[in-house]
Amino acid sequence: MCLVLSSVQSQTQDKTWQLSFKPLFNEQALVLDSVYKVNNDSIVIETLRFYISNIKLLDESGKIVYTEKKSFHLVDVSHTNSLVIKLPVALKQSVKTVKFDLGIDSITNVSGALGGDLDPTKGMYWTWQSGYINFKLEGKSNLCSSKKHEFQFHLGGYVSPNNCLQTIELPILNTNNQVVNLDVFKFLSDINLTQLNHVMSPNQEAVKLSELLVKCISVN
Amino acid sequence: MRIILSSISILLILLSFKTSEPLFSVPKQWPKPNYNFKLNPLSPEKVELGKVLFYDTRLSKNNTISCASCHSQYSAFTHIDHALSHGIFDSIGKRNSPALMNLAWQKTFMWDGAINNLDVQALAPISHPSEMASSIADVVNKLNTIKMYRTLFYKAFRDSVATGENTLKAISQFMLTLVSANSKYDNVKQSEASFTEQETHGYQLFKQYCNSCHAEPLFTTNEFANNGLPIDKSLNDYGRVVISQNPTDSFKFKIPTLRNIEFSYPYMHDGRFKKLSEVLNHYTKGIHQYQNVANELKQPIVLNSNDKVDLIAFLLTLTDKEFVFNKKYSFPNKYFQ
Repeated sequence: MCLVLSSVQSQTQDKTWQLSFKPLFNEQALVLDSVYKVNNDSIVIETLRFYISNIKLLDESGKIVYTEKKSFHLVDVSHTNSLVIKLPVALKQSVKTVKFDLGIDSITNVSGALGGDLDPTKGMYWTWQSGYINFKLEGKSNLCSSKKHEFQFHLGGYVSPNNCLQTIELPILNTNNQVVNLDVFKFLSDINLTQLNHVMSPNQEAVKLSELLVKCISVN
Repeated sequence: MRIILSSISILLILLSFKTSEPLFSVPKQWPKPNYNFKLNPLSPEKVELGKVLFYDTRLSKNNTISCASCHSQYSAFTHIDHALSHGIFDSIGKRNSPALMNLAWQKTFMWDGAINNLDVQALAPISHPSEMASSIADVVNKLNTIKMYRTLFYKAFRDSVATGENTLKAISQFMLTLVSANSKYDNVKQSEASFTEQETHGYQLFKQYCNSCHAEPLFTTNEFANNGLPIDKSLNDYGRVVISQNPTDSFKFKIPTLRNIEFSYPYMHDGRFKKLSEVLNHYTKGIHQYQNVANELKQPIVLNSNDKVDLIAFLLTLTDKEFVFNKKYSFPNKYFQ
C-alpha cells in the first residue's frame, strides 16, 4: 500500500512543471508597502498584479510541444500562491523555451462575462470601457507631482494601434521550476515619473510602457 | 391503466408545450442576432434571476438605485423626463439613458460604443460614481449575504454562491428577452393591419430621408454618425472619438433605434429635444455642417408641416404596447415584499 502511494506521489511530482514569478525591486525581492530609498527618491509599491496567459512550451526547433488549456492566470503579489503557475506536464530534455502572453488576447476581451481569474470582480476589468487591464502597478514616489505623490499604471487595450498585449519567450534553465524575474524598479527608473504618473486607458503611452515591461523581465 | 397513464403524460407534455413560450425568438424576417447565445444559453431560472437583479436597488452603493431606476418599462426601459441620467445622491450624468430593447442585435453599447458585449455593459452603471457608485466586487459580496439570492443563484447556476460572471450573465439574460417586435408597423409587415393614408405617406418620407441610418427592421444600423447637433458647451461631449481616438469619430454618437420612440422622450444623446417635432425641426433646419456630418445631412432635408405631421404619424406606428405593458418584464413583486 505504501509503495503504491509513494509511486503515485512521485508520478504526480514528475508530471508538474512550475513557472514561478519573482517580483523584484532593484534586484531584491519586492516587499509591498515598504519604503525604498533610492537615488534621492522614496518609493512605495502598493499593488502589483498582472495577467499571464496562453502558456506554451517549445522544443529546440521552435515547435510547440505543450499548450496549456484555459491558460489565464492573475498573478498578484499580495497573494503568494498566485505567483506559482503549475503545469501538469513532465518536461522533456528537448523543451527549451517557454512562451506566454503578458495580458489578455483580443478574442477573450470581447467574449463577455468570464469567470475564475477573469471574473470582473478581480478588479482587472475596466468598467467605463470594455477590456481587461493587463498590468497594474500602483504606489508612491516623491518624484510624482500628483496628489499624495501617487502613481497608477493600468496598462491594457486590445484594439490596434493601442494593443498592449506582449508575447514573451524565455529560455528554460530549470527543469522543475523556472523562475521569471520582474524588476519594477527597472520599470519605474525608465519612466519620467514627474511628468508621467497616471496611465489608465488604452493609448500609445500604455503601449510604450507595456513594451518597456518586457525589458524588465529576466530568467536565471 | 397503462393507456390512461400514457395518455395523461402525453396530455401533460402537450400542455407544457402550449404554456411554455420561448424565452427568446427571432421575429420573422429579422437578421441573425449578434449576441453569442452559445456562451450564455438562456434558461427560465437565469432570466428570472436577471430580472430580480435588474429591479434590485441593492446593486447601488446606498441601496437606492436599481437598473430600472433609469430604465423603466413604461418608458420602453429608459428614463423619461430626464434629459440626462439621474443617479445616486441626485447626481446628474452626462448622457441620456438609452431605451433598452432588441439588445441581442446590438453590436456595441452606450452612446459612444464604449462597451463591447452586453454581459459587461452593467459594469459601467454599477461602477459610475454618478449612477450606482458601487463595484461588481461589492455587489457580489452584498448578494452573497442575502438569503434569497442563494436560492436564486442555485436554481440558475447550480451554485448558490454569486460570482461576477454569473451575476452579469443573468442580467444579460433578462435584457436579451426584451424584444420589441409587435408594433403596428410589424403588424402591417405581417399583413395583419394596414397603414392609414397619413401613415403611408409618413412611411414614404421615412424611407426617403431616415432609413439609411435608422434601417428597418431594427430601425438602426448600429453604426455611429454625426447628426449635426451643435455642441452643448456645458457638457463638451465629443462622443465616439474619446473611445476610438480616431479624429474622424468626433461628435459621432450611436444611431438609436426608433422603436417605441413615442415613449422614450426626451431625444438625442443629451436629451435636448422633448418632442418629436423638435427632432424633425433639427433635421430640416438645425444641422450644424461639421466636416464629418453624415452624408445624408449635407444637403438640406425639406419637409413641409404636413410632411412632418405624417412622418410623426408613421413613427408612432413603431409603438409596441405589448412590450411596454408586458407583465413578464415587470417589477417582480414577490421577491421584494
